[in-house]
Amino acid sequence: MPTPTARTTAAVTRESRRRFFRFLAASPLLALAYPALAADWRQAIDREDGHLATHHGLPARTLCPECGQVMTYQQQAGGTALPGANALDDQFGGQLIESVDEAVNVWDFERVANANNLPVHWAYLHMGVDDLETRVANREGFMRLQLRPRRLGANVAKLDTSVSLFGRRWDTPLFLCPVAALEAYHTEGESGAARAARARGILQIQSHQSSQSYEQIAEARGEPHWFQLYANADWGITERTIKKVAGLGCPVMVWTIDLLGGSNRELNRRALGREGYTGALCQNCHNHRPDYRRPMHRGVDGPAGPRHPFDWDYVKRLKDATPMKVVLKGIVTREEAELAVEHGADGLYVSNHGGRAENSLRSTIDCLPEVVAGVRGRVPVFIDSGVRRGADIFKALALGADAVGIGRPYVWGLGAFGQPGVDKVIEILLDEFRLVMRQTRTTAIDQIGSQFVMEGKVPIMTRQNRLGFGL
Amino acid sequence: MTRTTARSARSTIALAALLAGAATLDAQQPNLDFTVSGTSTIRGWTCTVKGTMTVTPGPGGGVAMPGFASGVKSATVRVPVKAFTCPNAEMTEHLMQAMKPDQFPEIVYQIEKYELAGDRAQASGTMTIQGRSQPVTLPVVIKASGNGVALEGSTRLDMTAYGVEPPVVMLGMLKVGPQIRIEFKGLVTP
Repeated sequence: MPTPTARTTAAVTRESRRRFFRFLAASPLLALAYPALAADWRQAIDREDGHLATHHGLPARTLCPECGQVMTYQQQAGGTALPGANALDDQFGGQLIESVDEAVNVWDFERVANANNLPVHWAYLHMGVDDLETRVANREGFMRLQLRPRRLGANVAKLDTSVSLFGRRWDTPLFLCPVAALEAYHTEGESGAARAARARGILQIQSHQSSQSYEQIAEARGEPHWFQLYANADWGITERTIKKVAGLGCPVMVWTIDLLGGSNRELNRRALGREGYTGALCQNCHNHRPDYRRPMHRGVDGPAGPRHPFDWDYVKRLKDATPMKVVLKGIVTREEAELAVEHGADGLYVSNHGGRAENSLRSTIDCLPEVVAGVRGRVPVFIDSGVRRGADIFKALALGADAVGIGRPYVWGLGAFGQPGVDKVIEILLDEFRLVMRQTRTTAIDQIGSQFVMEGKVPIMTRQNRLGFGL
Repeated sequence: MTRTTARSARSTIALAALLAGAATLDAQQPNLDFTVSGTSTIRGWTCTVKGTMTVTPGPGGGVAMPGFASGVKSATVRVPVKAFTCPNAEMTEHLMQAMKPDQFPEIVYQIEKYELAGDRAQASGTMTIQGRSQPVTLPVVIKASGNGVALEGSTRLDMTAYGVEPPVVMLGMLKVGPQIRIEFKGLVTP
């Protein structure tokens, strides 16, 4: 925790910075200088300008109909006095924090990560399929679920948030989802996330598309971790990959099946096609050199194997090839939940890939109850996509999940501040989660059930999510 | 060196043990891990280095303790610039170009006073980078750990305040942000 002095200093610094950008936003010369400013300056000015415009009911950053140049709100409003910044703007519109100590919720890392990262990398992280509707649905799903608290009851001074997964005890049900190429957002990459997860005693799943090798991440973590697999059409490559990670001590393999049909990632395609994208920049940051292969794709070449169809027999094929537990990631229906368990899946993972698979317009929290019903307690159920609050973790557990994953939030933390950012994101979510446990008078995970939630008619969404921020 | 406030006898002893312990170390033996993090127009970055903390014992208002009754005169942290390692050779090269280690081989933080509150100290002193000195106050967490004292702290600096030009490479496509964060962590055994 920062000292009162440090906190005061940070607040003064933040206010000074805001006053400066507010001054720039009001400058008549801004329109001339704006294109040459650094991205984070433009964003800070936009933010202040937007606050002022909103305050006066005017659109921000509109074009002058006569000269075609960008007009600030000040120019539109004819020199209206600047109102003071307020906490409401920061709460619902986001802010550019300057240290992890300033973060109040996970979205406080989103704007910083955006400002700190290459636009094409940001687009990859930010995008959902089509127009991000399923990303929106993921949030709306959680925001439609209401909590039913308890006022009196068990002593909640001491909470046990631990869960058991495949015989291993974890400190909390929260886990870090597999996300590709984390070095694109910070040089610490997966190892930075691993150190934060290790310190908090939570599970981490490595992406098959990671920037760093299994060995590097396990070393940072201090123990083997779970691995997410994209099965190759060539069974020989898949089998060698499986044997490689199993040989390194990986206890659980998560097979992603939600992208086998492809996905329409329009924002990503637009970002790659823009003038601002250059291969040279990407070479600098995550080594996309001509012969570059991501670490988990190295050393698995060999004789071509058969090309088995991705059907239910494939689950048995995977299980026969490894002693690792096999979890299927992407199950969202009861029918497939039943089939998956019947075909030997050791666990099911409810996911729509963070709104990046099919544009189902259906949130994972809406899918969870039917998957849980199909599983009937035979194997653990995991969930991700749209988890942004400790209350979301609670709601997912209440509807039958055994563990709850976050993707983008911890990558925002990583992209903003490296390992300390990931650590703070985890801390915020767990603090929020424990708060809800106290509000519901639950002292252990197994006490959290469906009696604590009910479905509302409509989602209550208050955060501004223009351009997908705040989702 | 002066101690301006003593609110916790336990922390006072811990800090004194830390300083006293460091004094007994071989001056060349690194006992602190430093991490320097920053931003760029592409992504965040982290480089690491091992440094040393040395203590000059003697009267000066420091805290008396068994085996170190005369107190602490000064404490100095030194970081060898050439020893910095970044995630890849290109980044290390850019850092070296910015830090000019042949001219300025060390970053030095001279601790001049401290305040205590619980297990936290607020250290005040002078940071010298590339020959320029600036006053820096930073929080340090001090905890007894086995036979030694563990310490951990962090602060944020603006490179340009020390005359360091943030690297700009690839014709300006990649610009490093001037604000950096320094974290340090170490275990000092008396």
